[in-house]
Amino acid sequence: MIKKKTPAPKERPEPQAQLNQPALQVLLALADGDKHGWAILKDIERFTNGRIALSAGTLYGVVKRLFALGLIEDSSERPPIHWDDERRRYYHLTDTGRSAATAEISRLESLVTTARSRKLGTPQVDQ
Amino acid sequence: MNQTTPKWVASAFKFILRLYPARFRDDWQDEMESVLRSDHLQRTGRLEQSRFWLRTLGSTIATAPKEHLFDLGADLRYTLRTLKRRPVFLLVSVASMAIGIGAATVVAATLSSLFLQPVAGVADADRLINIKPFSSRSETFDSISYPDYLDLQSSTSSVADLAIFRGSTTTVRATAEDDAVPVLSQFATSNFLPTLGVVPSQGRFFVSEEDHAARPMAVVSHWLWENRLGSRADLGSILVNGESLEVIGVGPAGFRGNFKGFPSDLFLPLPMGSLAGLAPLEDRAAREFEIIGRLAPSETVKSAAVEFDRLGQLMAQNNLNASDLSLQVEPMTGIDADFRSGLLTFLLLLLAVTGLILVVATLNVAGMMASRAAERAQETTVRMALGAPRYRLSRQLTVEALLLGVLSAAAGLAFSVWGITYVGAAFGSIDSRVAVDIPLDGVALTTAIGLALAVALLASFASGSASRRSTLVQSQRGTSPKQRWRRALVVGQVLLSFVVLTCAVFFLRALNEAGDIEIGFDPDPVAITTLSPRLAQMDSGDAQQLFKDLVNSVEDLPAVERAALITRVPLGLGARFFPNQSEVGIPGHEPAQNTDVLNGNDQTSTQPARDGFAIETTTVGEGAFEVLGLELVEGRPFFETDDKTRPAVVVVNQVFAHRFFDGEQALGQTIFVEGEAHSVIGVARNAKYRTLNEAEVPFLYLSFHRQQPGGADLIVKAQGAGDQKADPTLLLSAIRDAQRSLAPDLPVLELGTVADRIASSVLPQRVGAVAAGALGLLGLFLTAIGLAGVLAHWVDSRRREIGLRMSVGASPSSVLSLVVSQGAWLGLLGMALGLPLAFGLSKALAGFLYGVPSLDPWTYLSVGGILVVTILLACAAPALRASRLDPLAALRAE
Repeated sequence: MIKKKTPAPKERPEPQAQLNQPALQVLLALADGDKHGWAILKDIERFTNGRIALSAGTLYGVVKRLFALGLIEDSSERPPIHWDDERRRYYHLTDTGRSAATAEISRLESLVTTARSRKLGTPQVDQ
Repeated sequence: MNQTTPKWVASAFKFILRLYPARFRDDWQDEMESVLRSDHLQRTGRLEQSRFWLRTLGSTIATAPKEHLFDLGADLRYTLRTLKRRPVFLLVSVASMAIGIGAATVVAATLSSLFLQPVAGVADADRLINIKPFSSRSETFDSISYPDYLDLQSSTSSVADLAIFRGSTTTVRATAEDDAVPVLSQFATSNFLPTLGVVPSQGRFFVSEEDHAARPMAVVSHWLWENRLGSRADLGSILVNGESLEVIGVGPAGFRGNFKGFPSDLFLPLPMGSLAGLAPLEDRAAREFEIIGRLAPSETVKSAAVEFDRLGQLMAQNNLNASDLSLQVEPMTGIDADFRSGLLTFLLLLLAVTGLILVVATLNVAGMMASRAAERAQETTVRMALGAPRYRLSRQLTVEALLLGVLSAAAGLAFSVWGITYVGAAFGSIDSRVAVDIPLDGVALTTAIGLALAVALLASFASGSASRRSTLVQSQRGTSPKQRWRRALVVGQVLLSFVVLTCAVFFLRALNEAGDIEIGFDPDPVAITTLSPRLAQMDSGDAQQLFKDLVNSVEDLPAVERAALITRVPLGLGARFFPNQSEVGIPGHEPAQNTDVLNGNDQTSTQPARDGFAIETTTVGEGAFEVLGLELVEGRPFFETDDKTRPAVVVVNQVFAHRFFDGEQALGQTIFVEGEAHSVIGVARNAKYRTLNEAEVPFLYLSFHRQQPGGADLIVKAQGAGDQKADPTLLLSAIRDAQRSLAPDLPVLELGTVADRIASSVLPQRVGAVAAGALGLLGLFLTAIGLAGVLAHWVDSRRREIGLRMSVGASPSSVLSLVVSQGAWLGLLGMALGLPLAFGLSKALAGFLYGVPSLDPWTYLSVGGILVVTILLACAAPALRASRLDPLAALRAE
């Protein structure tokens, strides 16, 4: 199995630096397993109920950045040969990526908690 | 599972993705295409398909620039890092380009201010015209009388407003306690300022009734109000030539009259002209006024010219006093037509020289960049072999060039701010009333930024071309690429350095020649001040008394050897720009038959006047010959007794004596000056009167005490103490005090030394020598760096060959000469190519080069010598390094 070339991470700013929405969505898409680009797009579309459909340009801008930050890497695993399209690259969430995503989610959680305590958000169902 | 995607769709994807930077595409293009294909396959139906394409295109357009910016940022950071490691390279390249950009910006700003911008503060300047009376008698532009103006005004239809004015130097004191300062004033009709489209910022301008009644009032410029009146709220009154005038208004900020370079700050109604000694307005013979007009709607300069040509003919027919005049119309430019072309030529030449220097600097920077790229060639080729694309290298060079360009533009602008101040000061040094305002305006900024951009592009193109020659194979072989580009750069640099240095040496030689020119008198120990008693409202009797008293009181000062009066000091500005010719009749000499004998140059030729020769004259008092060191070869000088009560006498110069009395005794001959018989009492040595390069011309000295002119220069010769040279500057304050105590209302004008006044006559040469010299030396320095770089690289790439030669017995000296000959060929080629260019340029400069022929071999030889020495010095380091090469190490290194 040939590992495809990976652009060297150019610089590593703080991974904790706040992730924007598409970046977080990509990390989420990879949280339950390695995926190729198209699969990431479809997954995001699915878990946002079709509200968000990233374009290829946006996706790979984000992927490039996540690579540079070391939050994702090329996957060392590939699917069985009869399913594989060798032009495809599969991406893998690194440990750093996982903890960055976790940190971002807890940040959002605490935001949500605060919002609810101030009577903002879904549990206050529309009257 | 692979459904096929139509070919055109695949091509469309490729096409759209080209919008991303190549680096991004390298990493992600395949992936993106695959995602797009998958997406495309899912879209069925027209609507879905169109949506897909719109979305793909839209998101590409939205995200691609971000990636470009990101790459640019990375390149920029990389470039900054590498530049920081090479501070000398950074400094040399930015400094050299900045000097070029700055110098060109200063010249462009000056050109713009003098030739492109309208006169400051004037509205719709393109509708303003000058109507210039030309005298066929004196062959110069003249003025018209007030009655003639009234006639013109009533008959013209092409001009909506016709106004006249008369410029004059007056003195202004803000209060009675202040010192009097000279101020250029304009006596003008009440419609003068409105014609220019100027509105008062405070108070009011004159009204037409005030064209006739002499009321003591004045309008001041905003500049004068701010700088001399302390921006006082109560305009109050000022003292002009000693008379108190009510200030009724202040002009708008920026407006200082209708001339560039000679700002007027005081505007007075015509009836106040007596303040400056103007004749009564109704006098038709008094041709004292200049005319301006504002074109009527739908009229053009051409149509006005036609009309005024007709009106001028009428005027000449109807008025005997104006029979020699014709009227010419030109757009108002603020600069006299006499100066225009000379000044423009000079500035354009300077621009050309600065442009050349900038090209040299740029090529040099390109050369340095290319050599750095070549140093990295090994690394680059390895990377290219591993698949890194070539565009990264050229992109890097472009970013580096752009960054250097931006830095140079900033430094160049800073430099030009200083340069503009310097040029302004240089103009001011010509005369205290001269002030040229050179704003760093849009033209200047555009020039600086445009040049920086051009420089950056040129540098990146040239360095890119140079480095592209380093091919994979060549580099891997370890032999040098041909480096043709870099050699061409060096040849170009030598060529341009040669041209610019030749200019500099020509200017220096001209200055030197000017210093060597025998001017016929000794200006060095002489101080000078200008006396204009009419500025203090003195009548002629008082004025003559003041002249006499002042000479006596100054002669009593310690360290003064002699003081005297003269109307026009030779080679001063007045003598240069305002010829003062008298009509001289010489018995036995008819002008028409003798014109061919009198071959001076254009400016100083003696043209036949109506009844005699027009000959340049000046008026000198007792002691003036002695003060100026003007030797009398025969006869006697003037004494105070040579006044109106005695027969008129004249002193001629040698040329005059030789031409008209041809061997006969000149003394005692009678000639007719303006119709009056004068007998020759002396013959003075020839001198230069108007310009340093004039031919020797006949010249006359008249007695000051007989002519009793209204104004004069007081010249004072300082006494040397022991072996100490006489220093006239030590006398200046004493002269000032003497004048103040005798005439407190009389402004101290142009107090200085005669040497300084004469120095202004070589100002263009001085500016040229300094500018071309500085730029030439810079160019030389850059050439040396460039050549040394090329040779160093040549040696590096031939280490193996040189090592081989040495191991088979080549001596170090033969290696030395091998390297030097490489450099020498490039240098000689550059010089050979530069020779015709330099010759052409010196031809163009000929007007500024006193007596230095453009084929002057010494100039070319000395510049050639300087370049040869520089080239040898540049060869030295690489050549020595080559000759000390250890052959074994060199061979093993590969």
